[in-house]
Formats: sequence, C-alpha cells, structure tokens
Amino acid sequence: MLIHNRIPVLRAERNLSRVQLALAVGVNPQTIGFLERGNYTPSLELAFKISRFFNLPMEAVFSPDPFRPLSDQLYEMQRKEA
Amino acid sequence: MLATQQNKIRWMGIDMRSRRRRRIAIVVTYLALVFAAGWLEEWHGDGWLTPVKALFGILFAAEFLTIFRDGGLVKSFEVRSKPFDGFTNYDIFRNFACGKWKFVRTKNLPPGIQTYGLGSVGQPMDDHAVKNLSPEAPDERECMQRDQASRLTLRFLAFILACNAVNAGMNGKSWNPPVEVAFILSYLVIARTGPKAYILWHEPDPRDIPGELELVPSATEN
Repeated sequence: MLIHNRIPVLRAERNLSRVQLALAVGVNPQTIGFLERGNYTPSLELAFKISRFFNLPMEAVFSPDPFRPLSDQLYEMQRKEA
Repeated sequence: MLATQQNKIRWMGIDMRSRRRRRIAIVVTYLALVFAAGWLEEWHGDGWLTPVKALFGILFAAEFLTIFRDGGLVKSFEVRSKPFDGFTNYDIFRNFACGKWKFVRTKNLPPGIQTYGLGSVGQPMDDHAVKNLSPEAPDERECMQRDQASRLTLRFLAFILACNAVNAGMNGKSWNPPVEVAFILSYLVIARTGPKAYILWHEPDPRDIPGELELVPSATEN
C-alpha cells in the first residue's frame, strides 16, 4: 500500500536539504529521496521521527490518500473563518 | 544501496555509477567464475595446489577482489555496532534485551532528579547517540533491499540445488571429487555474491534520479 507524504513541501517550507532531514531522523539521504518519490513506505518508527521533527501530527505528514495542495486547504480554511 | 562515497563507487579506477557498466562487470565476473569452475572440474591438482585450495583461492578473489567486495560498490551488509567508547555511551543493557540505555552522571540529570543524589543512573539512550549515521551503514530501507536480495538468492540457490539433485538422481552419477568441488564453488560463490549482484544489477544510476543525491566525500578526503 502506498503511503502519501508531504515531506517535499514541508522540507521546502523550512528550507531544509535532504541531507539535513536525513541526519535529523537517522537515515541516509537517498532514503529521503525514495520517500519523497513514493518509492518507499517508511516504518512506523521513521514515520514518527519525521512527524516529530516537523512538529506535526502523523496524519499531517503521512496519509493513505493523496493530499490536497496545502494552499487549497489554507484558502478554504480562511474562507470559512471569514 | 550503492555506496555514497566518491572513493567507493569506483572499481579499478572506473566510475561504476552507470548501471550499464555495473551490468557488464557482473557478466564478466560471473563468466570468469564459470570458467574457473569448469577448469576445476577438469583439473585434478598440481603438487601442493589441490582443487580444494584452488577453490578457496577463487572464493577469496570473488569475495575480496571483484565488484562484489564487501563495503565496496555496495554498502556493507553488516550493521556494525559502535566501538567501545567508555561508560558514557556504553550500551550496557543491550545484551539483556532491555532496550537501548546509557549511564548518565548525576550532574547531567534534570534538576529534579539531581536533588535525590542517585549517582549515575541508566537512562534510555538518545536516538542520535545510538544511531550510526555513517554513510557506510545501511539504514532501514537499505536493510530491506538487502533482505529482499538475499531471499531471492536463496530461492535461486535452492532451485539449482534441486535441479542438480534431480539430474544426479536420474542419471545415477557416481561421486567425482573435482566435479563436486566445482559444484561447491558455484554454490558458495552464488550464495556470497548473488545478493550484491542483484543490487548492482537493479540499482539505478544515482545521476538519473532528480534531486539532491550527490555523493558525499569520504572521511579520509576531509
């Protein structure tokens, strides 16, 4: 089963390289690339480490369903609040 | 699972990042080993050099001199533990299956615990202290790749062993030491080099993958 993730977006927002993220979560940089391309499903331990690193709940980083663009979700939320 | 260091991705001075080059090297190496096995089958020894000694020599060459060398083009399959570095980070409870712990001196404990004057106490090890972040060590994805390659090799080996057993049973072959030595050589070489050959054959060229996958300089180059 493919697990979708938002790692590239979160990494870009924080201006982090793959090497920096890999060092923080204790894997090799190639593994971050595999995760971002959807070629590898992380273990529960790695998924928790990545979520904790970004200080976000697991479901904000990983999902079994494709994510909607963050900008769409944010715009919708702002429209509801207004 | 290819090595990420610039000095390790080369074999005999040739840049082996290209998958085509790796595949050619695999085919050439296995052809050489098949030739060696064929030679052992026909040959009965010469003075001190017996077929068994020649078998060990060829195995040594396959293991340490070819592209299948451990820790060469493919990362080492072994996950080595950190060397002993004093009691500060000594993983003393590992052998007792109590998880990852370390001794922490009182002065390094949180203030609340310091007041009780417990002395050095066992504490779960920090992830960064435990994790071997060396680029030479395989991580969880690479361990999975390694296990998959090893499983496939074992299946292949079981298949050819069964084929040879059926063939020998049907033809009623008698015991012929040089032939048996050649068979043992083939099985040992396949068992040792098969997983690495599978990885080298399938792993894409790192330059074909977009993103930050550049090689890292080795510790000796720094």
